[in-house]
Amino acid sequence: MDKEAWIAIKKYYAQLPEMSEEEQEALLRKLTEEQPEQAAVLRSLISDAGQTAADPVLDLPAISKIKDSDKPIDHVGRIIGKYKLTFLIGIGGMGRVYLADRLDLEAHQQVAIKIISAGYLTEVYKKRFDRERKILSRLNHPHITRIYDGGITEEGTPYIIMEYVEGKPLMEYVSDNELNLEQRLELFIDLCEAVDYAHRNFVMHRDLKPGNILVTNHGIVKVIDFGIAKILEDDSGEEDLTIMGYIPLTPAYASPEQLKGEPLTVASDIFSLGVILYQLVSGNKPYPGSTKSNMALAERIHHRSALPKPSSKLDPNIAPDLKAWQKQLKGDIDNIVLKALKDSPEERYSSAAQLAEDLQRYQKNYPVMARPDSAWYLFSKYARRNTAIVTLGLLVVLILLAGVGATLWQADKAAQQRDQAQMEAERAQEISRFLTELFDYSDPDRAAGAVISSETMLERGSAKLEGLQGRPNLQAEMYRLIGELYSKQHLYDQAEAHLLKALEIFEVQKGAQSLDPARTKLHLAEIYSTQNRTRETLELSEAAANLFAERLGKESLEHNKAQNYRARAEMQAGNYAVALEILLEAAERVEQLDLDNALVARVLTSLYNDIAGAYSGMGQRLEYLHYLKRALAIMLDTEGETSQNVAAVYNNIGHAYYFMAEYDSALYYTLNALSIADELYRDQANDRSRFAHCNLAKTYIYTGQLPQALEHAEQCYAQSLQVYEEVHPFTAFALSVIGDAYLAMGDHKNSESHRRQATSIYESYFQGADPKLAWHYWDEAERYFKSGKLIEAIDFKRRCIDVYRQTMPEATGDIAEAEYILAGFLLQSDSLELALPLLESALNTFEKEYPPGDERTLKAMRELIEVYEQSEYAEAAAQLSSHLSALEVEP
Amino acid sequence: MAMQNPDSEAITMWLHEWRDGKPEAMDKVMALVYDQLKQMAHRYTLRENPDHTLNTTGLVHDAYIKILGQNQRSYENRAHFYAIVSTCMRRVIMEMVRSRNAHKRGNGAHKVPLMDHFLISDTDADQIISVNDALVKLGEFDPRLAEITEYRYFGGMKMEEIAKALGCSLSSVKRDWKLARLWLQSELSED
Repeated sequence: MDKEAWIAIKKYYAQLPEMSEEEQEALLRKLTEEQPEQAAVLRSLISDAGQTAADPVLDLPAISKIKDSDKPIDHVGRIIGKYKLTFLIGIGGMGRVYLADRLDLEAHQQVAIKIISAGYLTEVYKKRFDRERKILSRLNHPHITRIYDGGITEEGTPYIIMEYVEGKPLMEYVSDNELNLEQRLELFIDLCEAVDYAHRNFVMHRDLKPGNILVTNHGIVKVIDFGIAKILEDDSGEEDLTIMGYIPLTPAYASPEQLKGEPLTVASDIFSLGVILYQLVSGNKPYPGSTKSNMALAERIHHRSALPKPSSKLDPNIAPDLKAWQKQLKGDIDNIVLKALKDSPEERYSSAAQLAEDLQRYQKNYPVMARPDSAWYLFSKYARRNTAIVTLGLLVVLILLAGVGATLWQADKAAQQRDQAQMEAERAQEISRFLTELFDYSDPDRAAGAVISSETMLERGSAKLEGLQGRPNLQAEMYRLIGELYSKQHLYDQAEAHLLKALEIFEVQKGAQSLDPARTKLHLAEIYSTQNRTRETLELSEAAANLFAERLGKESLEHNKAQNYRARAEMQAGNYAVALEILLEAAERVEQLDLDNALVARVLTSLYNDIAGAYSGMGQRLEYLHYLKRALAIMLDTEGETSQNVAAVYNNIGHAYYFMAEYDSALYYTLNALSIADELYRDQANDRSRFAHCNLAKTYIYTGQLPQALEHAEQCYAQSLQVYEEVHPFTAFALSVIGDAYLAMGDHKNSESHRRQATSIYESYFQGADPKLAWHYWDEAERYFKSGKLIEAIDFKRRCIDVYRQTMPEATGDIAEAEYILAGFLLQSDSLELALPLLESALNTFEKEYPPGDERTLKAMRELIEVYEQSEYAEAAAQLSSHLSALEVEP
Repeated sequence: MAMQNPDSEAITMWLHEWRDGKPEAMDKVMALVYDQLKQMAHRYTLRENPDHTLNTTGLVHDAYIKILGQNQRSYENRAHFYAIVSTCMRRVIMEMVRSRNAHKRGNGAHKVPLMDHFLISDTDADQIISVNDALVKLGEFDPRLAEITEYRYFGGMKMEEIAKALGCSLSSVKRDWKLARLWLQSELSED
């Protein structure tokens, strides 16, 4: 059918339903004369017959035409050489593996015979196959399955006769036997030795994967199929050599160069070992979507994002104690795995033996190769080998690493800063020496094996600082370091005292305009921000930001980090628009930096989060959500999903959807937050779960799933009690959510008793005026109003307004809104004369606070006009009416 | 609470992003769906099922639950998702049919690789290829009809689901399908 005809038919077909039967007939008659073909088509379209006649091609979905093929040939019972095939033991990408018995010997000897599925074989190929398998049969290692013989069957199928190993595939073995990390590493080190042996004999495996590694009942590792992949590969480049079949490469374990089809070296096997190690220690494969599809491959080759560390992808099913296991992985194991998985072959371990050796070094607490030789790192290793000061040691290392990271980052940034970076590295070493001395004194407590708390340790460290007066720079560094350590322990008073001392010395020694005072100020700002000390935060972050801008430029990470705290202080002061401007500008600059750098990623996450917060404060929920999701994307990339920050963001997204009345999405995100929190904290009460339960309860009330709502509200309460105290706004809030759930169920008695409890907690916690108390009164008034208790509703609205008036110097939109609502309540109880002044006051404030013609103003006016009329204040009513109609016309 | 498939929230997020005007988000969804679907489609064909009226809507539903999880309640997402599945399904099926033909045309001694074997009669394979070709042609001057056909013929979607995915009435989908079917019949009979 040509296009014109088709368009014409479509047009008629669209017109037909609107026509009467006579009109349709007329049209068809006319068309039959002019365009008989079109008419026929049109008739078939409208006739029922055309509809019911089944079309065997088009009426069945395409996939229904595709079926399973016949079963492939079974070789059981066949005799190959001196062997009889007795049993099919495996089917793989390369072919089938049979168990076989030797025929010419009395002794019972079993072997495995692999019959390789391949297509057409050339003579040249057959020769090469023989050559290769002879090389393989020379490999003799306890952890490699022996290859005895091989050949080509009459039909031209290659086969290999090999040692029969009774065992389980690696992953199955480790999970069935619930091996711990140490035992897993032992198996892996054996595996490395086998691979190294083969490499030294110039044989690469090329298809290392857990399925090719068996573990016997006695726990002996056996690598199977060594070099088989090579046998099947065409390396001559001549076309007639090509054997089809397919190259049994397993993408999930293949190296990047393998995926790209580049020439391979032993480094490719090292990469596969890295993937296996990743899976062994974490229970997860590093690359998701490990199918054979070309798209997944292309994704891996072209868009490689930073690989998450094994510790961030730990499968809770393998680790009985998730946190302890995670702790073991963090650091060395993470680094070792990632080194084996480097993109570029040169950066990986140069041999399997080296990889094994590094793991053994880890086991013995010696420094591993897989990380830069920072003084701090060496120190931490030293500390762990020698002492029990693990808690503090860890913190020290954390801070040191952060410092060294920043130093390296700076060094990378610009050549002229290299000298400075060099200086900082030297400084770091000096500090490390001092710390080593500090913590490595002989201590009677330690000799007795007592655990020294990190707090005691810090106190002792601090006491020693006085003695450093002769070396002021070092002394200041140490004050700063110990201050930071205190702050990590949430001991803010001590932290502040130490940082202030550091600042004082730095300013004298290095001048107020140098970087060290700036950095110390930034730390102080962080602490003040945590404590909600708005004015101090603002002052210090601004000073730090200016200093950084001057010394390092506005594009420097530190400047923008300081700006972040500045903006946060602005937000605390309620200046959302100012904060937003600062934040957006900072984010734009940080986006230009190297986002693969963990420090940059962290600052950007924090900026996005705060931008979201600013938008939320301005009531712009869509923007809020947008930035939360941007923060989330970075977090998922850098921290993996099982992180409390991710849980917090999920919670916030869920909460935003709740306010937007998108309950499905709210539930979805909040349930995710909850499941992460459950995974992270197990049975421990925590703030993430508390928030999630509370959110779920509120959402379920709206979706009408009331039993669930009550259950979550009660869980929220239980968590609040454990995380906070009885007398705390969060506990009170949980109680009022329980009250809400009961209210929705129509159980007023239980609802009110819980809410009364909440009210008394709020009142004793705030001891007087606080906006949060006003909000609670506001909500209480609404609840009483909903349950038809007007007197209580009026009472709570009054209390709400009272508290507002005490906390706010001038009348605000919120107060006016409350007055307006209260007036409404009063009108319902026919108290016209009480409602009137409230409405007047509300209207007055609305007009001042909002632009002319604002809906709130108009509403209040209409209400007031009615009250004037009912109170027979005709003149006032008329005056306001004309005012109102003027406003209504204007826009 | 049952853990969701880890991919599901990524997909949900991408779908949201896509609706918020980021076309590149859809590529990510497609890549993921395609992989899953390919495995599932192969498993479907491997089922011993002599009955030709294989429930493909079931396949799409299964894909949905497998990828997005049972707890997913957003119907808007579901409709979009079905549409994506149909598009992916078309690619999976065409890949199956074409790879089969490639084997057929190649050396006669070739066997199909063990893991990927499936059977389809020559007539059926040729028909699927013709329908696909005709659909490409139809798409050139009536994209909407082509879209509906894709959802129905390759995705096995029900009329109601198509209507939901396209955000239009059931009757208009039915009418359009009738038209598309007729056009395809006439196009196929010309070959």
